[in-house]
Amino acid sequence: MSAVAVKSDLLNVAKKFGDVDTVVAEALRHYAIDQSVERIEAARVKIRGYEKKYGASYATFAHQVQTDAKFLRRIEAKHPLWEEDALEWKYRLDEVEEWTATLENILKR
Amino acid sequence: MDGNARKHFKAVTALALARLAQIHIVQDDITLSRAILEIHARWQSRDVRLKEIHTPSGNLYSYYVLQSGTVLIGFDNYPDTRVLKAKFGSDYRNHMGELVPHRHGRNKQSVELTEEMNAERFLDYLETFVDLE
Repeated sequence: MSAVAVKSDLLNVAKKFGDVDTVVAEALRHYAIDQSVERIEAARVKIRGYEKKYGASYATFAHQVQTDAKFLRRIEAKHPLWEEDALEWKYRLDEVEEWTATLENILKR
Repeated sequence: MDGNARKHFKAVTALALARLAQIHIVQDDITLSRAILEIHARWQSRDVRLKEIHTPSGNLYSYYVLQSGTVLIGFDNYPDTRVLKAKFGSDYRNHMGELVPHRHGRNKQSVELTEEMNAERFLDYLETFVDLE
């Protein structure tokens, strides 16, 4: 349990809804859920954009650029800055995984 | 991650503001375990694109200069088949996914392995690199 400073006017509002510790804990829980969902959705939008742009899943795309010189040349001709997409593509996939795990932990409590 | 990345991104942004024009911070997002910074800007008559990603498993970057959509010079450390083979030879398949710092030449017609690049060194490089025409 940690102590957090909360403005007294907000605290007074919270008290109207019941036990202040419970209300604050529940509010924080809702906030964490909302933020996690928002992060997951935003990352998924980016991932879908990359999948559409490159016509493949990240796993397929990453494998091909690392093993297939012809595929790499084709990608490079069409998307000369593909690397900046690829590094963010992986980043967003990891982000979805991380925030999904966070969300699941919150929901289990 | 949080404090260090914040300090680092602030420094990179300040550098970009000092040395580039028409700065557009596309994204600057930092959480406890990951961080991403993307800046688009102009240098002389060229487009400059900086992207950095910081995660516990490593830092990724791409620093590019373009003219009318054509790459003039670019540094990144994302692995592709050319750089993996250049670094690891026939054993490259055992190193897939490993970060490999490298530089692309004009229109990405050439590639060479490099030391790890960072935004400051990239901007220094721009100042001294005259063969961009």
